Amino acid sequence: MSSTTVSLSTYKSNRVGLCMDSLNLKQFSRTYAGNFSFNFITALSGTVDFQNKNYTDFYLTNSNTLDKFIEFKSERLKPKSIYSSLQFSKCTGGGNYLKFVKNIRPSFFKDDDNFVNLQFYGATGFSNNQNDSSNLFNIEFIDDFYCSVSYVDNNKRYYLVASDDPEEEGIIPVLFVRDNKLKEESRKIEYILTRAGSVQYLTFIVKKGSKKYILRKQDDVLVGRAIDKFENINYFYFNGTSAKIIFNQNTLISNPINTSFIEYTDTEYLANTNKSSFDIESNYLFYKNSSVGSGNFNLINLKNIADTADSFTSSNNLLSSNTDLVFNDNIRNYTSIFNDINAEEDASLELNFVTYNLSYKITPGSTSFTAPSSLNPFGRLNINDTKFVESGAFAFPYPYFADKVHKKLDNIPVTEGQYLCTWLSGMPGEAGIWVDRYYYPDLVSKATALGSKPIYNITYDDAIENLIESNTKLKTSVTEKLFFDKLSDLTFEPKKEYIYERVKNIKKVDEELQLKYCDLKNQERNAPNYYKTINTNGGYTLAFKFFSNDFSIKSHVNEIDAGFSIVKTGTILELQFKFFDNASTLYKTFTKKITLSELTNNDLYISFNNSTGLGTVYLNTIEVFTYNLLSFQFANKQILYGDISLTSKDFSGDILLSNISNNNAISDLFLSLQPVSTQDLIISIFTRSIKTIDDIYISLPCGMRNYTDNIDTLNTLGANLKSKSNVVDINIDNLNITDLNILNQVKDNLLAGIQKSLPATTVINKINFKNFK
Amino acid sequence: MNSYNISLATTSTSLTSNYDTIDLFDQTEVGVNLSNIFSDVFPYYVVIDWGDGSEVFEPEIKTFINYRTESIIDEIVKGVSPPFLNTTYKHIYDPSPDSLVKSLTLKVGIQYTTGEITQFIIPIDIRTEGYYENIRDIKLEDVKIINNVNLDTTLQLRTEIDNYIIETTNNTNADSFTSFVVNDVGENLEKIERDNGNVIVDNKDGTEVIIVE
Repeated sequence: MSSTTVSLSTYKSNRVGLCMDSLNLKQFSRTYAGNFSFNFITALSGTVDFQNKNYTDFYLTNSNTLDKFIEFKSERLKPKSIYSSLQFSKCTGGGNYLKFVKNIRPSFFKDDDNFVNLQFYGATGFSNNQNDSSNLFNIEFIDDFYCSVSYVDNNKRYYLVASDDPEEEGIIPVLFVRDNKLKEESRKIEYILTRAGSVQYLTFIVKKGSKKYILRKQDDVLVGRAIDKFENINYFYFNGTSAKIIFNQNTLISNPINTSFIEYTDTEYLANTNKSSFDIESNYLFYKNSSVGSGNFNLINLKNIADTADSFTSSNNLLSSNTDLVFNDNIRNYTSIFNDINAEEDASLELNFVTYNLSYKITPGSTSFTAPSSLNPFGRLNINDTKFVESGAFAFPYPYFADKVHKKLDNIPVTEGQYLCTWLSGMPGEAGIWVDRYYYPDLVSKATALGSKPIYNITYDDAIENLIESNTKLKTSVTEKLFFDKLSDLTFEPKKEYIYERVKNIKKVDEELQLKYCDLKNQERNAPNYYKTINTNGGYTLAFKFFSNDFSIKSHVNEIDAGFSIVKTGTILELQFKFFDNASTLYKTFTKKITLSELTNNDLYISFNNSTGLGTVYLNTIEVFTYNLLSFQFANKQILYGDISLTSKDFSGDILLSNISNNNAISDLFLSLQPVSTQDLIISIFTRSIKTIDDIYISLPCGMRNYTDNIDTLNTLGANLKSKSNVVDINIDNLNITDLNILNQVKDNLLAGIQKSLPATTVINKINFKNFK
Repeated sequence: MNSYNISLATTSTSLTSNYDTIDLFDQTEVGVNLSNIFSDVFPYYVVIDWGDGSEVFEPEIKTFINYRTESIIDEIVKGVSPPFLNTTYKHIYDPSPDSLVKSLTLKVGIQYTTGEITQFIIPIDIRTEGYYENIRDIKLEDVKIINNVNLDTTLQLRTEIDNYIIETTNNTNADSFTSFVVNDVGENLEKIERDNGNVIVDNKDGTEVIIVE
C-alpha cells in the first residue's frame, strides 16, 4: 500500500461565472510564492454558511448590497428609445437641464403668425434641477444617424424641431411642435452619441436646406447654430455642445442591481424618494452544481425585508437605529442552512433566520391577538411607541371609524370615568395619536361615547341613561362631561390578550351615514317637499356617481330662479349655484365649468352649509371648487326653492325616485337634508371611493426568535441530476478520430450494443472521445 | 481589506502635480478626497482614471444638496464647497493575479469654467501579501472525489482571514475530447429539448463548444 501527500499548490482555483447574462461575479486572484494562485470571490468572503445538498453547493452570504458582489459586464447597449433628462452640462449660465415650456410666449411668434394654434407649440427652457417630469424627454433612436426627441404633456406628444424661419446671425429658433402638426420626416434630428467613462452624451444636429445647425444652449433657450460660422469644428466643439444623458432620479432607482423599496407619487408615477428606500442589504443564497471543476453560480436574493408573515410592511423599525421611517432593512438575519442528514431524495432546503419582531395580520373587523411571551429588550411597550401608524393604522376625529385597540383585563380598575377603548385620533391620511377614551356609563351610552351620535343599535340599556337621554335639560348640562380623551396609557405586556378593531364593511358605513342624514327610501313618501327641510336645517349635501350619459339636475321649479343646477353635456360639466336673498332682493351666482376625462367614472360631491357660508364641490375626492357667502346669511331664508329633479335620456322626475327606478345617468345617490359635519364629509368622500379595507400587518418586539424559510424544490435550482447514481458517462480514450461523421457512427454502434449490458435503469449521459494528450 | 485615503488640495486652477509612489498592501479600498480642491472658480468637469483598467469615473456635477436626503455633516466638517467635491470617491484595488507587485497610475483631472485644468498623477504599487497574511489557516469545508484515473477532486476551503470560501480542483480540464450528449441530464437538457436533437459538445482548450446537429 502506498500513499501520496498532495501539495496544495497542485490544486488550481479557477475564475467562475454567473448564470445570468451580462453580470459578472466580482473576484480577484492572488499569486503566492511557490507560483500558485487562488481565486477569491467577493461574495464568498465572510460566508455565513456552506452546505452541499442534493449535489448542489449552497453558500449563504453575509448581508450586503448586491452590487458589492456582482457587476455589469456589458453596458454598451443602445436601446430603441430612452426616457431621460438632457443636461447641457458644459454650457454656462443658470440651469442646464432642458425643460419643456407649455406656456409659450406670443412674442415668440411673428406678427403674422396664427395665434389660434398656440396650443400646438411649446418652447424650450432650462432648469437648475430635475425635480419633476417637465425635463424628462423620450429620445427615440430611429437608426444610427437619426433620432427624435419628444415630450409628453397631458397625453399629447410634442417633438423638438428647428423652426423653418430664416436664420438671423447664424441662429435659428428651436421649439416643440405637436405630433399632428408634423410629418414623420420632420421629427428627425441627426445625433452623435459619445461616451466618456460611464457617462453618455448626445449632440443634436438639424439640417435646413443645405445648411446644418447644431443645437446648443444660448441664454435660457435652446437654439440651432449654423455650423459653418465657426472655423474650429472639431471633436471638442461637438463635445462642448452635447447634452449629458441623465436618467431622472425620480424615475430610476439608484442602482438596478440592488434591492430597493419604491413608493410612487400619486400624480406623476415618479418614485417618491421620501417614502422609498434604496440599496437595501440582504443575504443571498449562491448555489452551483457540485460537479468537479465546473459550473456557474446562480443566486437567490433572500427576503431580509419581509416580516415573519412574509409581507412587506413599514412596521419593523422599532429596534433599528435606522432613521428611515418608511421602511427598514435587516428585518431578518439569515444565519444557517439546515442540512442535518444528506439524502438524495430530499428535495427541499431550509434556511434559518433570526428576527426580533413578531407580526400580526389585522383584518377588517375584530382581530384578537396575544402579545409575545417576551418583549425584550422592553418590559412593556406603550402603544404610542409602536409603529402601528406606519403600518397603516387609520386615524379619524372620533373613534367609531378610527382603528381601536382594546386590552382584555381580568379586573377593570375602578376609575371615575370608565375606560372605553384606545383609538387613533387624527384626520384620515395623517399620522394621528393613540388616545384613551373614557366615558361615564351612568350618563352616556357606549355608542354615544364612540361617536357624536349613535350610529349602531344601542345595546346598553339603563334606566338612568334613559332618564338622562330623555331629559333635555339634564342632558345638556352633562354633555360636556359625557366622555373625554387622554394620551394613551395602553401598554403591550408579554402574553396579554388584545383586540384590534378596524372598520369592516365600508359599504355599511356608507349606508349608515346616509341613514344618519336622510332616509332616502322613505323620504319621498314621508316628506315630498324635502327642500323645506333643507332650508330649515340650513344646508344640504348631494353626491352621485356618473359615467358617460348626459343629464341635467336642477332645483329650480319656482318662479324665483334660484337653487343649483348641474348639467353634463359630453365631456363638459357645468355647475351653477344661485342664491336669492329676499332681504336685499339680490341674486348671487357662482358657476364652474369642468372638462371631464373621457370614459372615466366620476363621483361628484356638492355641499352647502349656511352656518359657515361655505359651498364645496368635490370631483373624484378632489376639491375642485369652493364659494363663500356670509355666515348665517340664509338663516330663516330659502336656500332652495324646490325639490331636486333629474332629467336624462331615460328618466325625468325627482332625483329620489331615480334611486329606486331605472336610470342610466347617475347612481350611488347620497343626499343629506342638513349640513354634513366636517368629519362626516371626509369619511363620506373616502368611503364612496374606497371599495374594500386592506389588511394591515402590525408587529411587536419579541426578543430574538428563530424561524425558517423553505425552498421546496432544489432540483429546479441545481439542475444537476447527472450526479445521480444511475447516470453514467462513457469515456473512450485515445481513439483519436477527429472526423465527426465517423465518431457519430462509432457512437451509434456503441450505444446499440452497450445498452444490453447495462442495468435497465442506467441512463447514459455522455459519450466522450478523448484524444491523445 | 485594507483602506487608504488620498487627500488632494490646490490653491489655484492650473496645476499639474506628480505624487510620489504610494505603496498599498494587497486588496485596498482607496478613497480620494477632493474637498480641499480650489473651487472659487467653478470646476465643471471632474474625472478620475483609477488606472487599473476599470471604467473612467466621472462624478455627476451637482450644484445643490437636498438636505432631506443627504447629510449636511460633510459641509460642517469640511466647509462649504460644490457638493461633488465634498464626497470621498472610493475604489477597490485588487492585487495582481500573477505577480507579487502591480504598478499603476491614478490620475485625477479637474477642468474649470475658465478652461484651465488641474491634474494629479499618483503612481501606486500594490503588493500581494503572503499566504500567512491573507489566508493564515485553512479549514476543509467539503471534498468531492470522482473515482477516475485522475482522481478528479474538488476541495472547498475556508480561509481564516476574511472567511473566504475558495474552491480548488486538480481537474485541469485541459484534455481535448469530443463528446456526444446522449441523455443530457444536466444544464444542456433544456437545449436538447428545445432543439429536439442531438447535441455534440466539442471540448477544446478547456472551452466547451456545443454543436447542434
